[in-house]
Amino acid sequence: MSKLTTAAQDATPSADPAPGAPRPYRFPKPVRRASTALATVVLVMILGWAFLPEMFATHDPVAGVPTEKLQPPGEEHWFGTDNLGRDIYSRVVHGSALSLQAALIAVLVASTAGSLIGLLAGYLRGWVDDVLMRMVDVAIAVPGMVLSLAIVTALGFGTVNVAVAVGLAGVTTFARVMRAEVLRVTTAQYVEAAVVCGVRRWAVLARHVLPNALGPVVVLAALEFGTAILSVSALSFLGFGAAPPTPEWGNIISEGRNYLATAGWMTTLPGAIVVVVVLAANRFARILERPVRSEQ
Amino acid sequence: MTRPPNREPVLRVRDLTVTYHGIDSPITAVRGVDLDIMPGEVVALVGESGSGKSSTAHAVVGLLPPGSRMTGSIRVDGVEMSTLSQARLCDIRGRVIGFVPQDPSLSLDPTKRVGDQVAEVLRIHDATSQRAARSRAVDLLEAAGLPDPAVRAKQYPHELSGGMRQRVLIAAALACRPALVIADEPTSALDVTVQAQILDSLDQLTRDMGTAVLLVTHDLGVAADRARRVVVMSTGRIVEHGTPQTVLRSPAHSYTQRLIASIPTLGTAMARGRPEPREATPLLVAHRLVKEYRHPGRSGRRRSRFRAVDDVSFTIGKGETFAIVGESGSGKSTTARLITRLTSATAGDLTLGGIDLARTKGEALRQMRKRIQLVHQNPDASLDPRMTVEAIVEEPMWAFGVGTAPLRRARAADLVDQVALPRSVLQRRARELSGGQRQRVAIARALALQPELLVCDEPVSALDVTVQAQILDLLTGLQAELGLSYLFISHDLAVVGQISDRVAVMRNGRILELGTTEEIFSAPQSAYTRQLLDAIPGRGVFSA
Amino acid sequence: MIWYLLQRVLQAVFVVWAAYTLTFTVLFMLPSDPVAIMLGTASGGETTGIDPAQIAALRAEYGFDQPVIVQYLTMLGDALRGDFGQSILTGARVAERIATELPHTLALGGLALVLAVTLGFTVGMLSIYPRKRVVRSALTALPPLGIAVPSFWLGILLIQQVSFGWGLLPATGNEGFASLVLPALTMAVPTGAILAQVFAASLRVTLAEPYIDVVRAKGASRARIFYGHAIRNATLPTMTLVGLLVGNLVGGAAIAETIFGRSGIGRLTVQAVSNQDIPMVQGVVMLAAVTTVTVTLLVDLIYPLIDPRVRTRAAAQ
Repeated sequence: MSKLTTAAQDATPSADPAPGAPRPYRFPKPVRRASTALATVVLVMILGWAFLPEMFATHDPVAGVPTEKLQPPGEEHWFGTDNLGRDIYSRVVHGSALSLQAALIAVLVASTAGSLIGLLAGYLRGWVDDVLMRMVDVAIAVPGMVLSLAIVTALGFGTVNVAVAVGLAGVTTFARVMRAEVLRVTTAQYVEAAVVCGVRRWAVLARHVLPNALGPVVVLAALEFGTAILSVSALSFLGFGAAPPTPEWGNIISEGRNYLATAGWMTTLPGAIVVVVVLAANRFARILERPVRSEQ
Repeated sequence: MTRPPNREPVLRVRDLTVTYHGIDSPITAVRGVDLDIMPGEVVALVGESGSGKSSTAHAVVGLLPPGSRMTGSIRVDGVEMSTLSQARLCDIRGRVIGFVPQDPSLSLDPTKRVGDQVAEVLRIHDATSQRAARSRAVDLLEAAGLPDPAVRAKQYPHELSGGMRQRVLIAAALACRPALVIADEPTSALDVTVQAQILDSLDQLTRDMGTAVLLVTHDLGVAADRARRVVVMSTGRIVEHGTPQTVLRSPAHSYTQRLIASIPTLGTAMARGRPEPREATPLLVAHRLVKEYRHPGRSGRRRSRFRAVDDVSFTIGKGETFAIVGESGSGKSTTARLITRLTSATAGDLTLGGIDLARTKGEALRQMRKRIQLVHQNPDASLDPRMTVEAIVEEPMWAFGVGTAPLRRARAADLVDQVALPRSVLQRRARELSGGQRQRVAIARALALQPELLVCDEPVSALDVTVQAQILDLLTGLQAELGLSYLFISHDLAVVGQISDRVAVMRNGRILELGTTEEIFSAPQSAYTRQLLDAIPGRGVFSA
Repeated sequence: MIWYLLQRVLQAVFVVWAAYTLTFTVLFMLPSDPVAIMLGTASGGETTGIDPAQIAALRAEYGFDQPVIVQYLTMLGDALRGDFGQSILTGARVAERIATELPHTLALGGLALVLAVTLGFTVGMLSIYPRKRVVRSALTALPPLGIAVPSFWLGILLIQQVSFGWGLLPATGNEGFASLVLPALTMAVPTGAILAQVFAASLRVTLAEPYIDVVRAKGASRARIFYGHAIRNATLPTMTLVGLLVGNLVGGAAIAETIFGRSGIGRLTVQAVSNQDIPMVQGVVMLAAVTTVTVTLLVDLIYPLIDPRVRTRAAAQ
């Protein structure tokens, strides 16, 4: 039986890598390690703030001590106090729950609605694809921020409404990515092979198309989380989010605007927290991206 | 005009080692290669994928990807390359060494006119004006055999065919009359008939200029036809070298022997001598099949249509292997898609065992799929990367609810045995396997439902020659064992000659000629078939 | 070719119309009553106890008593003539208000676009071209940072440092070029960061193309490879982003104008949203949509001039 002996001979792995295959830029390994560790620490800490604010906050976030107003950062007040004598660090800690919640709602709205649209368009093709993607084109014509503002106008103000508005503005991105992925996968030979094997249309979708198309969408969702934090806090900064005195990252920074010259810490430190959180979230998305990329 | 005779080799490689960053550990692609090429000499560097032949060639031109390490010595025209400054290296590339790349469709800047891309070499190395360089480029294109060179020079790469693009690249490589040309698989992306013409042009030009050639190829036939000396590489080392006659007729190294034995040639094809085609009962009947596509992007004019398959009729008998041969664009793959009902015919009839197949739909069509299965060209793409081999092989049985889960698992194990894979592959994923193993998995999956007809769409063209031979053996064995019928699609007449009972030659969507393998090979009726047969590389050396 | 042009223009017109319909649906069909808002703001928040006759009169005056489809068609007809109704807050004509504010925002947006493109391409290029890895690493780290910084916070930092700290440029105001610099920079950083990332990625892909190997084998210098081949080919995919980037700037104007106390479309938008001034919001949304659609159309028309492959396809149509 010659078959048995020959099959093992071609099992040598290929030694010629594709010359110069493009891959994303990679920082030196120690830099990558350090940034991954840092991102993890930041995310764990922020989740702690969001779920157990009382454990981390040092003062009451709402009730201020008028005699301690506008104090610079120090041992007692890590981030200083605002014009009402409230501890800014405690306000940032208590604000993280609302801000993260809003970002999460936005990403959920965008990814669920967007993926569904993209999936239907890409898998059913034909007129469904035409109609859905023309609608997406139209929505893309209105810039995301402007669309969010319009939706907030219609829905009214508040954290949840802002989150929904940001989410709806992000639907198009997910729809496009999902559709592109579904198209890529459905034209793949292994999907064709499944059809020839007699696998039913919806089983092909569930067993082959969805699992293989989902990776980039998950990465996008992680990336959109950072973007959503920024958009939500921008709208909150403009005054469309939670009504004061409830703290939210955006409105905390907004409250410091009148004291830029005298009490810079009121805006600088809360803003720095937002930057660090968004950087950590994006770093996390990049970590997710690597296995997805190597699969394709 | 030839160069003055010179005793010094134009290329002298000593102890060349090339290492790449692997995923876990470094991969050494080239291990201590020594190579000399004398002026005007044509040397073929032969090997399968992973042999290190391309890495050797790229090292000589200095085109190794970033992150790779090279040690050893490379002297070109007496100049040591490894210690040269970037500026001196640029001076030598293009002027002393020309480079003809592998895939002409990706090797020209899509946004620049082809004439200017040839002229660029002259602009870099000779202090010529843009005008002078352009007119010289037209001469060069003409010498490389490009028709209407003055018109073509003003066109962009996408307006040229693959063969024409390769002529442009040859013109650019030879523009400065280099002493050495490195040709890295220059024709493997082209059809056989074009391949022969391009290699003729390259031969002609380099002979006229006295340029030495390092021809990198996986095809021993091409090497034998074109080179004065053949160098065989395997796993990063040179295992054999000598004249084509000595290497091919009396190979000393076991790897070369295996390589040569694996090559399907006309000689071996006829020697195997398949039994006379039986008077078989017809299984599949295709009658006047037509597949039309609407031409993309022509909405301005009235519907213009394109017939990919044009009035094609044939019969496949039970237990028979029927082959369709053709070059790219011949309609052979579309025919395979029609038979497997991945696409529907515009007109014509198709029956399987007397039951209509062309117009069957929905659940009835799904039930028919039990009887016809498909093996794709590229096993990398035809297996779901997320599934284990066991799940892949079980899938057809799962789809039809055959047996219980334990029964299906047992059957999957049997199938894996049948295609001569160890049972340990069952729990692995496709990407952990080699190309040949993957194709075996694809065949196992196709056999799961015990089909009557297996459509094989170029099942071995993505594989190395030695692996090709193993898969062809497997298919032949399975046919004898299970009484399968094959529809075998291929561009390679030599492979077809080895496996098929009857052959149809397709071109431009039509069947030009149909007959037994014997008839097609010994008495071809159409000029095109003769041309295809003549274009098979290595005929002279092997059949003599 | 004519067919290609015509097709693109028709597509653009369709998108603008559909965007109008979309905003109409969002703004007028969702559960917010413009008349209640109007009266609410007019009487300082107390909507109860207002004469129902007064409400009915207002409804009739603004046409809100008509069936939705009639309202839609009437407003669409008016919009086609350039009339977007009047503000329910101040009663001013929407089109006139936009026309007054537009020049301020155009100047700001124009400068921001120039800055964003310059920044984006320079940083993108410099994160690939230099031989020293340290330089490339440093420049590759910049865009992710630019993307993570909230633009409102960046604006505040700029005011604190540049205006208050160094006393260089005015923190607020509309007057002169100097007042444009900081808000334009605020808008340009996030946009430029995206551009830099896309351009760098595109350069990286282009440099790995086999044709670049061929150019290298011709003996081309590093500079020739970049300037002669890579940049042009890498710019093509980046161009399709321009429409999106201009849209980003429109959104960015809302933030920048608010922080720097400038008048302009952005400020107008924020005021309109704060007061739920629906006709005004719709006017602004349409302005944004027309802007992005026009820019995208221009890119579509310029693209064939740069990419011969698209030219061939366009000519075939």
